[in-house]
Amino acid sequence: MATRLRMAISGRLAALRDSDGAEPTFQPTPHGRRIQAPALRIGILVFVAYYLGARLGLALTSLPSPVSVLWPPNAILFAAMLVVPVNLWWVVIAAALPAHLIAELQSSVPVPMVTCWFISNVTEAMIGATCVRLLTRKPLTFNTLRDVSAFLCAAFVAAFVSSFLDSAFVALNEWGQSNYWEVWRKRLLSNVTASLTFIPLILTWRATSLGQLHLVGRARFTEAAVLLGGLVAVALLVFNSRITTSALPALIYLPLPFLLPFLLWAALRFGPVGASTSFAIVAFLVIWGTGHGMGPLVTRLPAENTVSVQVFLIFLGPALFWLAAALDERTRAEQSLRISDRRFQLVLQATQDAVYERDMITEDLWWSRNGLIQFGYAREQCPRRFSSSLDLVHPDDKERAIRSHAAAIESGEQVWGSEFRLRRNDGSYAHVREQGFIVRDPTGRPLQMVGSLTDITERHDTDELNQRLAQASRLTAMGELTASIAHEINQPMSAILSNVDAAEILLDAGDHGSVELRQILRDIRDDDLRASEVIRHIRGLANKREPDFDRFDINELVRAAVRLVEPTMRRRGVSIGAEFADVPFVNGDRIHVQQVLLNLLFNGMDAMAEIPARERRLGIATSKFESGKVMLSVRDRGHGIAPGQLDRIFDSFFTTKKNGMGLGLSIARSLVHLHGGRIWAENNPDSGATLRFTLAIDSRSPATSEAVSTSSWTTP
Amino acid sequence: MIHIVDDDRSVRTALARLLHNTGFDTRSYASAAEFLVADRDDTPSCILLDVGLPGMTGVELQAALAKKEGGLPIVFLTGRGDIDMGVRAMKAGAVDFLTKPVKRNVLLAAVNAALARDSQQHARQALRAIAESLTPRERGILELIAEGQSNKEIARALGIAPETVKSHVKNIFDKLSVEKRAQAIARAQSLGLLKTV
Repeated sequence: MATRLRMAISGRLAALRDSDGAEPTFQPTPHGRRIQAPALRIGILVFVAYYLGARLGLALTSLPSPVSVLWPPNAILFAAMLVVPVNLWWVVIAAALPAHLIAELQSSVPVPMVTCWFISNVTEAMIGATCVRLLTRKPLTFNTLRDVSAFLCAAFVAAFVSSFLDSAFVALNEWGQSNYWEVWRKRLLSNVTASLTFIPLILTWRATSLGQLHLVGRARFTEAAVLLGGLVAVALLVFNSRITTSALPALIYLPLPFLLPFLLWAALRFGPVGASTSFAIVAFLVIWGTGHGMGPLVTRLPAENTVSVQVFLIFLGPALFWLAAALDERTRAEQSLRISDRRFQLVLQATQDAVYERDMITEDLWWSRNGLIQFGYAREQCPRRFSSSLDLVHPDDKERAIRSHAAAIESGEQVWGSEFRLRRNDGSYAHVREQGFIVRDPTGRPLQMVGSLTDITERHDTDELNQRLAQASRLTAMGELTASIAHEINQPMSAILSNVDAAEILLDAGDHGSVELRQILRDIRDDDLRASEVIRHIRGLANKREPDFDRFDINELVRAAVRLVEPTMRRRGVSIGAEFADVPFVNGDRIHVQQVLLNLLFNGMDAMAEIPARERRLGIATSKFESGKVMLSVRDRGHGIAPGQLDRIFDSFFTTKKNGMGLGLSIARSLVHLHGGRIWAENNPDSGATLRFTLAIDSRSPATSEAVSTSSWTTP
Repeated sequence: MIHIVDDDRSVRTALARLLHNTGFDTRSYASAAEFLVADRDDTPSCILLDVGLPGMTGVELQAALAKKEGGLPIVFLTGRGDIDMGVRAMKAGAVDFLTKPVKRNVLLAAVNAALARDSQQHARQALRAIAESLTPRERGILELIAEGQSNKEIARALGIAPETVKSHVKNIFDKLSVEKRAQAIARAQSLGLLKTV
């Protein structure tokens, strides 16, 4: 289930990513001959567009002024440089130059002035295109607020900076009658207006896949046509008729109530493309009308008309583009959410698991459509509050389930898992695995927990059966051993008991010190000795080998022992960390020392059987101890040792384990003593106990172990 | 008589000591084989048998004895609490199955039960021996005596001489260890020798 859930979530994320735009970054065009074809096409396109733009600009220049109301060629250069990769900008410039010359020279402007204008125009386009590339990493599509903002910023900066240059050129060429700052102001407004009008138009249409227009339904075409017609009609009525022309300053606001419905319609229903197109139409008609002395923006002075048109457009444009982008962003987000939500729902239906969402603030629970149906509950029976859901948990497991939730919340972890028994509607209990993740706000505060409940009753039963079988076979083996030991010890015990009974009878009969009574006492003593001999013998079984002393690397031995128990550790959910000090070789019997170490490791694991798997951690460390000794420590995080038992745990047949024989540590102690070492136990200050033993350093060679200073490693 | 079969000398000695001081006759054997070859008298007896004997085990000895007529009742002792073996032993007719170390009263109860069973067996066997020692003619005459017929009547009924009847009757009296006719009838009745009462 975890995988499925994770898939659903990553699907959700992927959907969000997709919708955020396919993020096509600027593709560097491959160099070489293949450049030729696009370069030529770009050149022709730029040439034609620039020329037409210049003609249009001249046409809209209603006055003998060096600056028109709106100068399209700059915007076209700017747009071309945004579209074309940087290494092809030269093509754009090379194609624009002849178009510029042809268009300008027709209007009898001196060549130096024409050339200077070209330089300032190219400079503006390059500044603008560079700014946009710095501010966004993807082509402008005007469908995010960031896009629109970056564009507006770039367009203004480019016009602002390049206008200084342009004014200087005009002054140098002594063209026209305007002074430097007048030219600068006029050009700034004109070029910003042009950028607002043309660049969004070009780029949004470019981002629209025209090849798929035939897929658009008839209704949408009709809507577009109605919008277009309405917009043009209203704009014509407002700007291109004498009705609204009255030179009353208050009427400057007149266009808005008429135009706004159409502009909003365009932005809302047709997004950035609609907004840019309708804005361009309005811009064209307002300039045209005002230029011909019609509409509410007409004032007494023609120069003021130009400014009022430009200011009107400069305020209208950004607002419209921002609105369209915001709406578009929102629509896409909703769409992607809907898609991912549908995927999520499909996943939920496909899985048998019960999935819930816990709102951490209201503590409300939401259940997936399946709900707890597999546990026999109808949908409306699913608990609505987290607290009431706990009533379904087996009383013995409740505390654990709560703790697992609380621990996951407190630890700052993202995912958690636990297992418990859940009451079915029929009163029986199902074994359930719960897994989930926590949604947090940026400060780490948990907002939501999403969890899934998987019915693992069957698997659990199998596991339990296997466990019981394993336990049974272990117990059988153990049972046989205990039985034979029991027999060995029962014989003398039995004789002692019968002898005592016989003696009692004799004493009751008035016998005080007969030969037989003495014989009985002798026999009892013999049997007692015999019993302890049996125990000594059992302990001897464990170290039957003749010890084989040699020098060896204790760190190496620890590594080997850990490798040996690793599978067991994994199975029992214990992790281990080792810390190796740079210690000399020790002298001892490898097998005996390994036996001691294994014994301590198994003891540590046993000690932690009752604590949560997450905390089951063993630590092994080697270190120098006193003079001529090396110490090996095994630290667990288990229940520790009762203070009174710290010494007793090494006694034979002393055990705190359910199935323990109480021989392990006693054997370990005898082996350590055989090596002239010492073994003892300490309770850790925090939790669990540490068992330590010492071994003698090999006197022959002070060679140090292979461990390079202190290193540590862990295994899962 | 209690036969103690246990390979552990000190257990054997202690058990013998306890039972002896309680008032039983005991004999000890270190193995099953030793027990099998030993002479035994007819006094009520039982066996206190260790399960884990070397060689022939206690259970095997039980099986071997069961084949012989009039096997002795067995009380098992074991150092391992083996339930399966206990069940099998009990099914095969053991009186009890005790685990070591065994408490005195438990042991004595089991031994007494075993001896009681042996006494009954012993009595039944003796009677059966008597019944089998009577010849067919003697059994016929015994029937007639039980009917209350005199020697003469018996002689006439069987077509034999009264002296012959008399000597048969004497033999019957001897075999039944009785001296009078009434006693003979009562004994015959208790042995179940009579077809009709």
